Formats: sequence, C-alpha cells, structure tokens
Amino acid sequence: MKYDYLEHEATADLAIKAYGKTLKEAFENSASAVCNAISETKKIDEQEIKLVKKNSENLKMLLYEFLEEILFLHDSENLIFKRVIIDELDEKNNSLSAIFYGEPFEPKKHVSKSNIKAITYFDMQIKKENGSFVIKFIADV
Amino acid sequence: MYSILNNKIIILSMDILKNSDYEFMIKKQGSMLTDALVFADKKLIELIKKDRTLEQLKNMASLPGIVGNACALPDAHQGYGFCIGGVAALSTENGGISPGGVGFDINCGVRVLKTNLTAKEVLPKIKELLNKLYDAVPSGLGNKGLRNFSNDEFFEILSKGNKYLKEKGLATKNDLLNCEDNGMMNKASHEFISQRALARGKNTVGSLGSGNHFVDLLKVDELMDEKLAKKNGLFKDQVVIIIHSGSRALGHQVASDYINEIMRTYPELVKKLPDPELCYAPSCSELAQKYYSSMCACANYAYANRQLMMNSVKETIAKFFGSSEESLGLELFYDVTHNVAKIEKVNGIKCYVHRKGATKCIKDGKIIIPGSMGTSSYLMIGKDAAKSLNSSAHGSGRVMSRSSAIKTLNQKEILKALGTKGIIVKSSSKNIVLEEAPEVYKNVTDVINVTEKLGFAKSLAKLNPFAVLNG
Repeated sequence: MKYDYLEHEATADLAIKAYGKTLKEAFENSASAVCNAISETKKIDEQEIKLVKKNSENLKMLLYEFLEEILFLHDSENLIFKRVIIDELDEKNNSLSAIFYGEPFEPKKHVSKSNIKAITYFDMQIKKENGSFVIKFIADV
Repeated sequence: MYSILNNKIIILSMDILKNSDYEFMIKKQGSMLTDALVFADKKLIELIKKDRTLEQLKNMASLPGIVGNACALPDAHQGYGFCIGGVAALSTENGGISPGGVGFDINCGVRVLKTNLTAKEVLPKIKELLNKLYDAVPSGLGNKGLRNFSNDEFFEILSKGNKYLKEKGLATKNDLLNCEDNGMMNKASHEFISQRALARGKNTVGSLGSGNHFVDLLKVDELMDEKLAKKNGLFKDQVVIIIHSGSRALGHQVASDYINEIMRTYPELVKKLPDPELCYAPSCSELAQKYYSSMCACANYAYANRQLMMNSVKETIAKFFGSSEESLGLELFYDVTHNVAKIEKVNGIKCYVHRKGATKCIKDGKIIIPGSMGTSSYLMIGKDAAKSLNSSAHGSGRVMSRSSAIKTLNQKEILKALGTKGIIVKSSSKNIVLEEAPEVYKNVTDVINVTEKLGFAKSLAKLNPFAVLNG
C-alpha cells in the first residue's frame, strides 16, 4: 500500500498517510494520494507535464509547498495529475524538483471527487519507522 | 490532566466542569490564559469529546492577548488550529490575527433566497427545475465562474464586494441591506494578495465548489413566531433556497500564503505553539495589517460569489415559471458569514474576534443554521449571546469523517431514505452523497435547542429540504 485515507484522524477533513522506502518515494506517494483524492487517477491521461521546483525553510514546509502545487495548478490551469515523479530531493537544503504528468479536467471524461482547499500543518508528521518513511498530513476539504 | 494514548492527547472528562445543563467549562490550566466554555447539552458534549475539539479549544485559550473566554459552540468539531465552531477574541494591541483561526475558506457562508411560491406549486416540476439549476450554477471540479471579469473589475470586487456589484447593476439595495457587512468589508485590498492566489481565484467568481457547498430548495415547515415571520416575508409552505459557498481557491491560497509567511517571519513564535496552524501575525505588525486587508478582500469576493449565484438562481426560476423575479417574490432574506475575523470590542477592548465555523449573533440580527441534506434548517433571530462573544452555531456539525462515510455508508440506501422523505439529490462529485449524508452530522434540533435554552437566539422558522444540489 502506497497510501491510506485514514478514517478516524479528521472529522471534516481528509487525513492521509503515505509510505515510502525513501523520503522521495514517501513524498511522491503523498502527492499520489492528493491527486487521487481530487480525481480518479486511473482515468487521467498524461497529456501535459509541469516542471516544479521548490525550496523551503524546512522539510515540513517543503512537503506543504510541494503538495500545494497540485492544488494551485488545478485551480489556476484546470489541470489534474496522474503521476508525480521527483527527480531530486535534497533533504539538507529542503529543496526538490519534480515532474507532474496530467491533463486538463474534463467533466465528461474525469471523475470529480474532492475539491481540496489546502494542505494543513495540523498533526503533520514525517517519520522514519523501521527503515522506511511515513508521512501523515491532513488536507482541508 | 491529560492521558496519552497512541500518541494522541486525550482530555479526561474530569477536566470539564458543568456550569449548567447547557454550558461546560475547562478551567484555566497549564498554558491556558483564560477559561474555555463549551455550549452544549449532555448529548452534544459527549460527541464533542470524541475527537480533538477540546484539545484545540484549550490551545485557543492559550493564545497571547486573548480577551474573554475561548468558546466552542454546540456544533463544534475538530478542525486544524482552532476547532470548527470555535470563537476567540485576540486583542488588536497585544494579541494577533490568526489565518488558521479564520480558516482556509475565508467568508464561507450561507444566504437564503425567498420566493412567494408554495411547495405545492414547485414539487410537481422539481426534477426539471433542479436540472435547470444544476446547469445554471457551476459546481464541482474544473468549473469556471458565471462571468468573466477583467482584472480591474476583479480588483473592484475584492475592494468593494457587493457594493461594486450594485454599481454594475448586479445587486439591489435590498441585497446590500440584507447581507452581513452590507456585502462589503472595509479596509479590503488586493495589494497584499499574491499573484498565485489571484490566479487561483480569478476565474471562479460565481461558482459553488464542492465538499459541503450546496444549493438547497426547502419549504417553510413551521413558523415559531408568526408575527415576526410575516414581518420578514416568510409564510408556511413557502419555498426558499439556501446557497452555501465561500471565497473558493482565492481564500484558500491567501490563508496558505499568510500561514507560511508567519512561519518564515516568526519561527520562534511558531515553535512555542502546540500546533503550527494556530500561528498568528502579532497585532500592530505589518503582516497583521496585510493579512487583515487580504482577508477582507476574500470576504468581499465570497459575498460577490454568493450574490452572483443567487442572481443566476433567480433568473433560472423566473424563466422556468415564465414570470418576473418581482412577481415571484425572489428576494434575499439574509446572508451570513461563517469564517472570518472582525474587529469588535470585547470587555471594552478592541479585538480581532475570530469566528471559525460560527455565525455572528447580535440582538435582532438574522441567523441561518443549515442542517443537512436530509434534515431541517432553521432561521433564527439573535437575542443575547454576549457569553459566546456574540456568536452562534453555523450548522449541525459533523460527527463522522469523510473517509468513514465512504467506507461505511451505502449511497443507494441513503438516496432511498431521502426519497421516502420526498428529497431528491443532484451532485457534481463522486461520493459527495456519502460524505454529506445526514448520518455524518449531529442532530440539528439539539444544536437549536441549546442555542434557544441559552437565550442566544430564538427560532423564527423551521425549513425542510426537498431538493438538494451538491457541489
């Protein structure tokens, strides 16, 4: 399992737990969870790509700004994404570069799911457990 | 006074004192600077204890410069930073303003549109009318707003809200009079709103969104004060329409931008907080001024958003019935905001009063409390809510998470149960019927009962839904 939508961690919002053998993979899976919460990723084709670079003050802010880019591109350019690949994640400098693969949302083709308002810092966790990474965060729906 | 279980802080019931049958108190303790009050009955307080609402309420009571009590209303539930249904006043001199205390959907709110149609006249054609309204109000993902505004027009909306729409012939004098803040928060400016936020929000003025946003058709089922109801243009079996939406992605991005800016500017302040979402721009700081004026601009956008959707609903109904808006009595009853900070005096001190999932409640002021797609909604009139910093509940309040609802509820059964009550539903988004099913909410009657028993407000009318359009 790459990620879970948690049942008992948020009352009105969407609690997400994502996993990865590496931090990079856990970040990518967090992005997949957000993309699939907005629209079913299996119905999205990879027609457009977006190059995303982020540089933040700390790791949690990096995660926040990285995931927020999915919401920003959706609202400003009507894009939804099937896949997010991180080229490079620099933990020391809290920076990353990634490629988002997707296409414009089409009501007749795609499934409208959650209109995620924002990522929140409430209870955000980035942990290493038994040699792999676990990320937990709550998205405001 | 805490118990730690699975890394979660559990507040023990011994922490909570019962002041009366409808008021509970968490006495000042630990880092709290004031007592916290919970307005609930014995059933609602047990529901409130189930999630992390009370932990969040205690955190609110710990914020510097807090004046009066931190309050949780009967519909309170867990949010982020502040609880939903949470109210806290922070001094404009030595407190601060917290974007997380307002929420991401700045000026999420509801408005009620009156008609002079009766349910009997509308019900035979309701499916057809609901389809027309679905086409008339953009909803769900990927939507565009009802009108394309130029940049200059967009900035006018941000600065002046519905006052600008009135200048453009898109709002009437009555629309302004019957809207909180008369549809315009002063001191609004787009100057300190990022290009990212403007880009996220520009195209969606006049759109519903999704989640718990809706356009519902209801009939007046009961009038609790016939004389006052008549004065307010309400009558039994009358059809009214509730529109629920906010500032869309503009508000979301403004909140997000300022939370991050506060974290960058005041890292030491944020480190001391139990939850980063509580972060605040200290009063008198440049950042506090910038956030406040940006928040007011988002509030104006939200007022305009609901106004434009209402205009579209009015046009659709008039066309559908082949009559004029005037002859069908299509008139705004009132519009209230749920998520905003306002500068008000508390105990004689000027404060940023944060209402997050809470309605302003003043003597003789109108209040709208929606229930759910399957339960009643209420129109109320304010009495004396000084105890809750002039605030009342904003809805019935969730008890079940969206993920739980999707996993445990059955859409066919919900639609069938709604159907037997004479309620039809149309929705843009998958799973929204599950996520917003009546079962995920508290009993609105309990919320109204507490509000009345405390003397905060009195009921004017009870409304029952018969057609629901979800985003």
